[in-house]
Amino acid sequence: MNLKHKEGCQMRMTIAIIGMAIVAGLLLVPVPVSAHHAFSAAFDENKPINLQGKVTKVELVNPHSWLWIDVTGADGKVTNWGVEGGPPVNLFRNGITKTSLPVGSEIKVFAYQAKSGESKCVGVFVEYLDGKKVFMGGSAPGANGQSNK
Amino acid sequence: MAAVYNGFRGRTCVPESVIDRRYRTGMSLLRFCEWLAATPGSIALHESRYLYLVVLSVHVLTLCLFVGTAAILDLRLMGLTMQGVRFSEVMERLLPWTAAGFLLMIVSGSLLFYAAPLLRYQNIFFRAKMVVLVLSAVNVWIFHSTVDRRRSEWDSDPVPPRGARFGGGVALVLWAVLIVLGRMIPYQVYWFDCNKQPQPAILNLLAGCITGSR
Repeated sequence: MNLKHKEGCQMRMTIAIIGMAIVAGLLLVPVPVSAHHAFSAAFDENKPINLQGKVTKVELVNPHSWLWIDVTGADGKVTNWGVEGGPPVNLFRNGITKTSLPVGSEIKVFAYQAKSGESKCVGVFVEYLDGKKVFMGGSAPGANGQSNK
Repeated sequence: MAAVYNGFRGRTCVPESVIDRRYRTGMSLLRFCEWLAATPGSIALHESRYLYLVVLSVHVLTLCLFVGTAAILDLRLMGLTMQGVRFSEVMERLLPWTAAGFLLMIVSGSLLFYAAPLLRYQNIFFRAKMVVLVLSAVNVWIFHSTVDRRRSEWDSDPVPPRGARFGGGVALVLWAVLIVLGRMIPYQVYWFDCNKQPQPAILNLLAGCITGSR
């Protein structure tokens, strides 16, 4: 009798723990699961964009760097675009430093646009007007320079 | 002394410099965050090559230690695990680890705040997370000042009384919400930021954005 009771308790406990695990799992569902910001959580692979404009700000900051450029549209309207790159350490490795992109310099960027529709994107590479490319080391496909040479 | 703030500065007997200093210090957390963000240490951490990433990793990995052990304590309180072990014994064995984890969490979390004070201050998820942190503390305080006072009466019970079970359950839910909110902090930037106006008034209010001149 006593033994049976004990077994019943253990059974109940096991069920309770499995229940708790399921509840905890459900609570965590809205959390994107990739290592750092999953590319697909914020950006759209189907919305690539080529930008050309003048650098207004370079933020080599953690966890993600941001490059800001003024882009003049076909209608003459200027939009300030934010381009996300990897953490500073990645950009340093690829050759972007605080002095390599002075404010006012003209550059091209290949990037994927934000899903939110804001004028923000994640950069694959920066291209200087002389054709030199620097990869932005962020979460965009090919941004590490491995597959997009 | 209330006269100091009545706007007629020249007519009070307190020197002008004192009024200004009081006015500024009492003014806002925003000013404090702006000041903190401009300190060399904050900038160095924000722009560091490795340190920030190390701190971030420590903050996330410490979850295992802190919430992991806290969850066992909460489950024991709910009568869902280790029913044959006195609650006091579970506490004695686990609490030092939970406390160490909490300390690491606070230190690494403070450093993450220090690296970008303004960004965190104007982040809706960060603000919500701080509210939940306070609620967690209140929950712990309520537990210790009520049902835990009578611990000797239920210490050995396989299933503790309703108040203890409730406290444990609330704590578990709050930890889960806290983790989700923390994970969401870096995503606000893709949704909106204070520097890009106009934004809906409700978002500006929640994030504490300053619009127009001040």
